[in-house]
Amino acid sequence: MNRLQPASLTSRLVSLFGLVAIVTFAGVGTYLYHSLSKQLETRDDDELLGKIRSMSHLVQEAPSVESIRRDPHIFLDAAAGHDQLTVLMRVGNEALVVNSNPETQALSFLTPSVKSAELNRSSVSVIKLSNGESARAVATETIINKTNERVQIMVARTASDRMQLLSNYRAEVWTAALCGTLLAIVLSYFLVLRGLRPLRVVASQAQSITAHRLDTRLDMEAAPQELHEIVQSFNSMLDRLHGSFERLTQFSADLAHDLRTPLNNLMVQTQVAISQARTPEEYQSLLISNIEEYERLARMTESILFLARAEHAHVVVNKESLDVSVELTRIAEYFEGIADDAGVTIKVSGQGKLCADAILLRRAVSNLVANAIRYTPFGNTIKLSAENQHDSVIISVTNPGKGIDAIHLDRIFDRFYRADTARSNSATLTGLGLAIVQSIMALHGGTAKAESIIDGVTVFRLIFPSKHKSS
Amino acid sequence: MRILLVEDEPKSGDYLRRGLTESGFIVDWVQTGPDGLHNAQTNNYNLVILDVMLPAMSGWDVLQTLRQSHDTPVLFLTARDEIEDRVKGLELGADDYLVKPFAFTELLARVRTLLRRGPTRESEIIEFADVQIDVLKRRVTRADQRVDLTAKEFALLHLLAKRLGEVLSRSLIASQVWDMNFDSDTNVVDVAVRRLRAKLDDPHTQKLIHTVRGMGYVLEVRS
Repeated sequence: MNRLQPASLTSRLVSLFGLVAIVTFAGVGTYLYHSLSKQLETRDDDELLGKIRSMSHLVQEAPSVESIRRDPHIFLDAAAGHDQLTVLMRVGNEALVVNSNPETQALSFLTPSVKSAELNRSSVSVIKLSNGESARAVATETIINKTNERVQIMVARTASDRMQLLSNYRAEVWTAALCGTLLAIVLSYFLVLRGLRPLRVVASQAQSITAHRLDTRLDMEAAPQELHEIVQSFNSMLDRLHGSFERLTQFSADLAHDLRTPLNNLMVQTQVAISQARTPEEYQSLLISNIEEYERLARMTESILFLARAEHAHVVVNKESLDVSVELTRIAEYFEGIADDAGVTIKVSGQGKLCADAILLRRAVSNLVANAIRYTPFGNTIKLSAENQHDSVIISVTNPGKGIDAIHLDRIFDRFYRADTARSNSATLTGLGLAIVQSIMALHGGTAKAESIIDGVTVFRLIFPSKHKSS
Repeated sequence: MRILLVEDEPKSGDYLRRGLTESGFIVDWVQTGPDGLHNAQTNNYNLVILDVMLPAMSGWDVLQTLRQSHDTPVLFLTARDEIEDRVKGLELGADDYLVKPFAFTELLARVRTLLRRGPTRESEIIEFADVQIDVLKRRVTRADQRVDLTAKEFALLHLLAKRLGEVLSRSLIASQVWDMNFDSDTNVVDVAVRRLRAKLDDPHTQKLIHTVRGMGYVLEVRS
């Protein structure tokens, strides 16, 4: 039962913002950290190289190894004030000539790889100290110009101060990233709330739409671009609802109106009759007249119930294969009498099979034929025909006559719609005949169509989908 | 013929009893389900007419309990004609149903059909007054004169003759003669009857087809 609720848009957006912020801050922080570390390294290396070059120069200019050993302060000065810097010198593999920082861990002397003139950044290498720290060092060999003695020089620099700086920096970057993310989350929460305001405006607009105000539409202009599609579909849904609702309201009004007439007849004629003494014959004819009205009411109720049920597909459709020509002939025979009275002939044509509910089919076609007889001038012929198309069977009822105006054609299948309010005999017609035809067709998955030419022919077509298509 | 009528609505019960009594039946009328069940179980009725909506005990329950011991034909009356309702009634063992509002002639026709136990053998030749109908040859004569009828006119006359003296409603006629099982706005039946009359009755002084206004048509010999 307890289905997981989808997270709210706000919390989704805020967590996404948070994620983006933390990734960005972490990325930027890492980049800055690395770039700083690189720069510090470069600076240290340049310093090392500078030192070793100046040492090398001093060595070249020195009178002899001996003099260096005797008076090393010139070299020591260069390293003084820099407790991470160590300058070492030796001649051959002998003991150290100069050690600027005797307290420091003993450094193993690097094998000088390059001549002093060729020193560059790539000659700097990393050496491990015995206490676990690392140091960057560079070494070279120089020849004393005067004595031609070879002196090896090495300058090393422990990285501890740089490491200290970097680790402080790293901690700060992480703190900043964390604070930044928190700030971004808090800010994004407010921004999202604000950004989603149009959504709430649309929602509150939608909320204000009730059955009585179905003509209200959501304001497209006020809605942001992204919501246009939703607003549009919502509005068109409202259009459809409004249409159906209006038709329903109209239907109820028409229904009430159509009930009023027989009720009024019943009431008034009965009241008139009992206002004074009448002969039995008069009472009898009153009662009979009443029965006619009752029957009309009963028919109307039946039709309305049929329509209501058909709409909810509560009508059982017993489809069977029917011989079209047999069915059409049966209907023609049914109307033989009244057609003859009206001076109208019914001509049946067409053959084949049709898959439909027999009772419903007869009802639909009968309604059309009854209408056709009503509007066909004396001496004319009504054509009742069937034709097979590749995916449907079409039954058409064609009659000459005055025709139906185009403005009425669209609504002719509506309930209680009467194209000719003046002509129709409202005492017997319920105005539901064509609506029933249409709902019968809908129950069969088909359609009913009407075409008419003024003072020409009027054709009503019932289009049934073929069996193999519908099944 | 004794009929038990179970109907709680006083107006309906009263007019149904009166109508059925006037049509020659002996009618007992009770207003509640338990009374109906008790009467149906203790007396020997030829038919029970049962309303579905009853106080204390619904028509369904009465029918269900009654069916455990009796197979008296039951015709039920209902204002609801949802398919499920009809199916339910017939499944519970009702023999027929009528949906309100119904024509009284319709009720009479159903009652008579239910009381006509077993299939009646259709006679091949029906004779009344000076009319003779040969069902097999589809030939009608009146006063030894051949009356030419169309197929549907013959079917209509045959139907009226089979139910001699019985008032047949328009919808029953439409359903039996043309197989049109729905109420229509048209006056097809009236026109057909008028045409049949023109051929059968018009040339003779004694009229046989009578209009019962507001109810339908009847074929009978009236003195």
